[in-house]
Amino acid sequence: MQNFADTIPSIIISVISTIAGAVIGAAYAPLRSPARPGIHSIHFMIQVARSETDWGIVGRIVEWIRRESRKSSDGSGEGASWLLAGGALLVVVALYAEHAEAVAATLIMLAVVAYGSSVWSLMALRRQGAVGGWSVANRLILGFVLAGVGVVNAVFSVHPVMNVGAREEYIAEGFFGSSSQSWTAVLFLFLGAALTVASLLTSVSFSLASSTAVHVARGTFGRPIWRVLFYLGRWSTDKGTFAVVTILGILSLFLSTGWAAHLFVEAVGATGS
Amino acid sequence: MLEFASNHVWDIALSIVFLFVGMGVAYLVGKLANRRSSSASANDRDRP
Repeated sequence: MQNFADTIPSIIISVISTIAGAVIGAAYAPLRSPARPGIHSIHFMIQVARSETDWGIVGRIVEWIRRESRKSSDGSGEGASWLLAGGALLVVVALYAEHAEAVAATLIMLAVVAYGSSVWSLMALRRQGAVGGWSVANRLILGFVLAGVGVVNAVFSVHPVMNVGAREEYIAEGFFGSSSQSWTAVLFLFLGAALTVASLLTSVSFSLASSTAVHVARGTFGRPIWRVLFYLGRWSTDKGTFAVVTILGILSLFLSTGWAAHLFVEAVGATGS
Repeated sequence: MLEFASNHVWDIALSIVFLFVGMGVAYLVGKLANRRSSSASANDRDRP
């Protein structure tokens, strides 16, 4: 039985569920005088929503970070920054080893809730005549593939097929106490988990963008909220993002099942002996 | 899978409850806003 005090994942899940519920509820509410009469494909809706949310916030932040890093990089502290990055990686891997199940469970639930809400709301919007064509079916199939890859990865990253018990050994003994085989396995599992997080977050953004694009383009009540929500998932509607993330997700199966670590340790052992 | 469900039973229950809360609120707000805007446009039409 789960301890109710483990609140952070519960709060995240509650907030996302409320948002997902709001997306569905708004799809059932009567459409306010559609700004673009006629039934359009979801791709058209996404183009409309993209043009309405062309705010460029992320671009400005990236530009600012680039400018600041150029200002601060005089070449003297390169060794220190590598050391800092190595230390940060160790801390993150240790945190991952300890909280792997909570992270995986939260992400699985988010992906399922987001995909479920996009299916439900798109069906309701299609029934209302707000969106149509094969595009809805295609979008739902692509969303299913992405969410499915993420969920399978997340399950394997908690219960790997190979190197079973490596994570437990790492937690019990720490970085210096555990065997090189176990921390190599945990490092590979962590890489797989990082790709899993990326594919599950893309899946959530993809589902969110699909249904909120219709709300934005159709002028559903609460437009500023739908615009902000679409903007959060806007990056996943970029051309190529889906393909790259799905391929990475499938490749990360190799990491999260423990096969990559197993083969790596065997290869290193073979060259060592 | 069953072990996962029993470990996260509160999360699952919360997500279902909040999903329906969000649904209900958004539906009611959308319906009220639509009713208000349609009655406002009807008043405009009736005005001489």
